Amino acid sequence: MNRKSLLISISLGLLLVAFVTVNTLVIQRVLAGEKELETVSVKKETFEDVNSFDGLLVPQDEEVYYYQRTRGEISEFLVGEGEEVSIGTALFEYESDQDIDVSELEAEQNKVETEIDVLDDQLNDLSSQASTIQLNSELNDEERIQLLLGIDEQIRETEYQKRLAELDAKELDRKIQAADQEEVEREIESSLEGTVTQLNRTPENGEAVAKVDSNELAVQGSVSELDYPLLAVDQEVTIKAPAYPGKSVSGRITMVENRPYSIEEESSYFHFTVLMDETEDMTAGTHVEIEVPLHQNVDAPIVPRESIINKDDVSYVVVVEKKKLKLRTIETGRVKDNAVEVLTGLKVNEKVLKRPREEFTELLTEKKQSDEEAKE
Amino acid sequence: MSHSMKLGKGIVKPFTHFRTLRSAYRLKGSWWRLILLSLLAFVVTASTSFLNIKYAGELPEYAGLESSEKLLFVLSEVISDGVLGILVFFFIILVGALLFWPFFQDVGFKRLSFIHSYAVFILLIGMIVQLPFIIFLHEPSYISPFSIGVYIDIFVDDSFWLFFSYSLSLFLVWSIIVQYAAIKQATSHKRSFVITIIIILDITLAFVMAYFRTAF
Repeated sequence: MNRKSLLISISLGLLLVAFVTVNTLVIQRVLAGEKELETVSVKKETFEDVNSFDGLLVPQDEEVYYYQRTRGEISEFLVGEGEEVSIGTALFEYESDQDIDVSELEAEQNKVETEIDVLDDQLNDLSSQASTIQLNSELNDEERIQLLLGIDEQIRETEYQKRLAELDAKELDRKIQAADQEEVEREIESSLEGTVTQLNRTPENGEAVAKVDSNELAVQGSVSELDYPLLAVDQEVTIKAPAYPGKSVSGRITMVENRPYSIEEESSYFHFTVLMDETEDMTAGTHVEIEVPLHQNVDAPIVPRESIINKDDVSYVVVVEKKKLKLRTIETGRVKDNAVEVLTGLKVNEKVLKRPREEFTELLTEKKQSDEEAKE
Repeated sequence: MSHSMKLGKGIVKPFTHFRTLRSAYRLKGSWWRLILLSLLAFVVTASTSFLNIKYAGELPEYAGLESSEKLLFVLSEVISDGVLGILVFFFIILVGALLFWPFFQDVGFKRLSFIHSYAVFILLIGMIVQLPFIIFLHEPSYISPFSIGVYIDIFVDDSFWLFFSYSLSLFLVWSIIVQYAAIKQATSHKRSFVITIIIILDITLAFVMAYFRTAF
């Protein structure tokens, strides 16, 4: 090797050493960084499937009053259609069979009571007379006895008359009460607070005379036999009406009928009733949509989809506990965006590897299985 | 006339060593050297994998394992990476030769594979030289101070371009020189054609390898 070649070789060698040294320094000073496991906290999310049913706003209660011919003709309607009524408000009344004049009975009763008072006064007078005779020293014994016997006779007569008058008063009182009762029974009263929605002024026997709807609203929904098992009394629901966009009202199912109102070739349909928490601004007859949440899981733990490793139909996550990694089998449910519902195996706020490597999981699985075998 | 595979001599004095390649009708000593080369590939790749886990934190899961689980984990990774190293070794030889073949048909597929064995040997030397740097720098093996990838790494954060740029190292230049020395003496093509094709195809191969590393 000549001198020139040697120099070139040394220069080249130095150049390479310089290149490597500079690169090493760049890596050490600029590029070096700590490699950490990417973890993610288990968050919570509420999952629910919503099933929608058609419904109609109807009065919560309604009361229909029918005409009974046996009670006579209707003499008067005491309310008008559309009128607000409360419990006890008389709606209409039947004609009376006997026209009993209560005021006449009351006058007669007053007369009898006056007569009783007069007889009482007479009795008092007779008693006074008897006392006077007893004390009169001018009368001999025979005269005194004769006079007293006469007065006794008058007292007995007066008492008898008083007794008869009292019986008359009682009878009159009974008649007045009976007349009052009849007056009440002739009036048909509302048993509901609401509005008179129908009034039939010429009813036939058995026909409705008046109908009162309560002012409180409820939802009457319709459910097919296929969806029927999904509904239950006390289930929370949400009611939305296209007529009131953006407004939703919560409610609760209060009744699910067990007999279908319609039987068709493909399916039978049942009514169910929902009581709403508020019905302000809404009117009866409005069509609504009843959303029934099904399979609700409130604050369920969720993890990103990439945190889960699926192998042989089993799902795993790698949990970080005190800087140690543990493989855990989980049961997954529904998926919302990229978040997977965890049914069992994880708690909220636990930490899992964001992107665990499948090979790594396989290794841990083998370990876990061998552990289990050892335990057995 | 025959030509023997002498890896050491071939990479140090390529212009002398490959002089007899063109006229040789028989290539000697290839098979057992290839077996040794694959064993070396296994050992080097497995060692690199171990040091990557142990010192470079390439698999952060390792730190979170129970001590009883660590050995199994390391063994599993090291063995699988070692086997992968053998496969990559054969991939470079066979696919490299296949890429070169259409341009150097007068050299022949067998001779091109033979030449690529030397290239692989140089790359393995590069990996061996890299091992102390893994321990020293605490960075994974692909971050090589022998490469221009260091400067790309400052500005780019994309895995593919990083893998690609880090493969453009002094050892690639060395293997290009050896390939050139070998092919030039075995073909009738012009020098400029030979060097251009070798550079283009080696960069293409680096591109493909970077793609595979990124994808899998």
